Amino acid sequence: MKTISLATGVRLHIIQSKKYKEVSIYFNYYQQITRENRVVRSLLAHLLADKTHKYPSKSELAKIKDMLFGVSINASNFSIGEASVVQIGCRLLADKYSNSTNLSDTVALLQEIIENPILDDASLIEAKRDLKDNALRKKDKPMTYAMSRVYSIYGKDSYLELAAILEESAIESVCLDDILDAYQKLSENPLDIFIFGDVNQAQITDLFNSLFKFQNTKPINHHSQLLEQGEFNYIQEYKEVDQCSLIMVYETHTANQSDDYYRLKAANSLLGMVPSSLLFQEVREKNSLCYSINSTILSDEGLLIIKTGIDGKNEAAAIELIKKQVMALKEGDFSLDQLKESLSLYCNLLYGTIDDPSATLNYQYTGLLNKNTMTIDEMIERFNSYTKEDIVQSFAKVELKLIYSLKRDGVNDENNNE
Amino acid sequence: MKTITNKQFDETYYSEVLANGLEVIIYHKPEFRTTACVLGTPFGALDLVQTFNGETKQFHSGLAHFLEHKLFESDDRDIMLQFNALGANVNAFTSYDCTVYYFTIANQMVEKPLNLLLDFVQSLSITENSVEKEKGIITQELMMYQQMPEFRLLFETYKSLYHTLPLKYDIGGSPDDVMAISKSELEQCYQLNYHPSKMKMIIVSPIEPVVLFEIVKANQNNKTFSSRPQVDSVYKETNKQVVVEKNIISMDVVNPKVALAFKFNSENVSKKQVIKQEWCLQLLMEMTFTAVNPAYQQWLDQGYINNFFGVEVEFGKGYRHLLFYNETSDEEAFKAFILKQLQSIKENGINETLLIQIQRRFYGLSFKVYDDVENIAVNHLRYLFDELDYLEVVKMILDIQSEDLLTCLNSLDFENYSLIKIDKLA
Repeated sequence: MKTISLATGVRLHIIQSKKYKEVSIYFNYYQQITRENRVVRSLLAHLLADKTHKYPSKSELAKIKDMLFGVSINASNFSIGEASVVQIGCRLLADKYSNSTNLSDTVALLQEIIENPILDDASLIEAKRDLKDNALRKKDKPMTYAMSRVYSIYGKDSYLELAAILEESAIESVCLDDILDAYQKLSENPLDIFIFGDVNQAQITDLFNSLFKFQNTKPINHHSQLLEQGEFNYIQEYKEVDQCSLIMVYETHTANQSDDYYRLKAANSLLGMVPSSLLFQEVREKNSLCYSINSTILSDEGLLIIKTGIDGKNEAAAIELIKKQVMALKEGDFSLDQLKESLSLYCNLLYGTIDDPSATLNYQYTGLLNKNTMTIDEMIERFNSYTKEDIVQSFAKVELKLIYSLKRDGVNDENNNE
Repeated sequence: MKTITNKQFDETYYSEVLANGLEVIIYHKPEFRTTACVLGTPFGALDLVQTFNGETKQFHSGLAHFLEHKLFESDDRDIMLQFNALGANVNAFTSYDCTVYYFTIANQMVEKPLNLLLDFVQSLSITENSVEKEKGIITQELMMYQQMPEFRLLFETYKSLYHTLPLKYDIGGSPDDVMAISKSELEQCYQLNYHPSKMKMIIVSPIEPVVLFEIVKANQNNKTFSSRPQVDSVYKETNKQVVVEKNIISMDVVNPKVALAFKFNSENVSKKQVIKQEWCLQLLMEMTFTAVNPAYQQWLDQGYINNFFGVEVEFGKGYRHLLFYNETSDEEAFKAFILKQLQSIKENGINETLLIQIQRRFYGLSFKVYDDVENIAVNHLRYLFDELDYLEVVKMILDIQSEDLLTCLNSLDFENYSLIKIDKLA
């Protein structure tokens, strides 16, 4: 990846490759998240890709995109730990297959979208309606709703709480001045632009410099913050659902990017990332309690999250089995072969990201935020050096802090012993 | 080995049919790190009624999907664990039309997982116990999908349209049918539908095609297969009318969801003709019911549709339908709105400029599949089962004229429809 500074705090990252027929471009605007700005920036993102002064209606913007051979342009706002990232993403057909100006015409369109959006009352009303509908739709999906409840409950008064589904009242309370203010601030956000595909480095750099007037901003100063929320909690909530969504949250007390963090990642592959993992084999294959089960690490917060969908009457049995697998890692009740196998597939998946622009983007951007320049090869070399003792050590501090279940009221646990 | 090249798309693939009838297609992608390999059979959730040896058999719904699960069982070690040990990521899926097994691996050590893929798909070894155990897993899978409102809307739509065509069942089957599936039924279904001459293999890899062909041939030459069974699937829809004109169910949702689905008669035409008709209708719907139409913004502002709104055109084995979906509590108003807009297409005719604009978009998007090795393989397989070439179909779509759209529109009967609603709980 080649990185070019376009201004202080504004970086252009170019990953040249002739293997793609499309060119992908992503603008990532970084700001520290707050309860207020996360809603405003979500609305702003929605407005940015809708209409511009040159293309003041959906149909006109759709027409220019079609004429650029179906270029797709999307804007969204997401959080990574303490960060709110407004992302504008674009995929276009490379010049080789379209015409010699498709890339430059598309970058010009991106400039129009970013620098001349229509931000008015009518558009804001529609954006609010859309975001409220999106939020309600998420609430109707049981596992998505359950995860949002976990963010709210466990993450109370922390950044994690701000990853929950947006509330309608918060969306409704935003006024146009808030949007205009947020838009103004966008140009002051640290900005990372990523380009993947068949592009010429010098030409693309000149193109960006000629079309955009980037301001100097402060560089990103991202911090991770371990979440350590105190007492254990077991919360059961009810909804008219067919299947119970079960989520277990563990604190790892392991700082992002520390040596133990990488041991934890390796251990997690054995716990619940791949089909040979302990959770998949024990909970699904041997005991038929679920179809899907996995474990994920939230790096910024130092959390391990296990989630699965089960029959509600097996809630206690599933919890006990899951606890048993975590204990197996703590006590070394696994073989080195099991670890090697899980790592083998995990490493294969990591290598596979090299062929996927959006997975590469995710890896590179997270690396930038954490000031981590480790390559995939280097990370895999570390994983392959780990012993059983390293894995046991990584799980020594792991502590269960929350069990959350969402199921139909009246579904009685067959083994009610919690 | 045949070589097929498309200069416009800058794509080449190699093709050979082996002595046992297995067709193998290979794309050479030296710039990619990952190899994707798919092996599929055109036996899917629709194939519930099959004739062979003068006999007609009705299988339980969900059988193709159940068989997909059971193929991963082995006398030695679980197949998934064997792939994991090789660093390969294996998976499978069952659709209404086919069942596909595939792996990806991001290093050059392809030979072992490739042999493993062929070996495990080409043998079935199951026990009564394991069949019973699988029922628990599949039941949880069915429940997971059933509680997703968007999935449930689609499922209820198919149930409302089709009397006997197996589209009315979840791909995974009904819970009762899943519980009734037996080891012998799985074995019989496997014998009928997994002969190599019925199957296709697509490999997309940085490894030289010659090397890969040799691996596959060596594997197949070591095996003997029985003669190809003469099996035909019967896709029968006994009634041209919809099952119910209105179907309302309740779920724990905040925004009710609605679908309006039009059922069209199936015609006895070639697969290429079916795809052409499907795309004529698809292009017409894109021109009318998406943001390229200036009226779309007014519809949003006036509340006729919201950002959930969409249109799907689905023409397949024994079925043709068009469905519109939206979030609204007033399903009758939505129905009236759609019927009015469909009528206006007939009255206003075809906007030639807009057709060309959308075809230009489609041309650009048709390259997208080639940026992912797994997508290349699965896409090619799907068209191959229909005895079609993806890029020939792309060309056909780009050659569609406005007269074709009118001919298609006038051939369809929009009187036969069903209105489905997922309503809030009382």
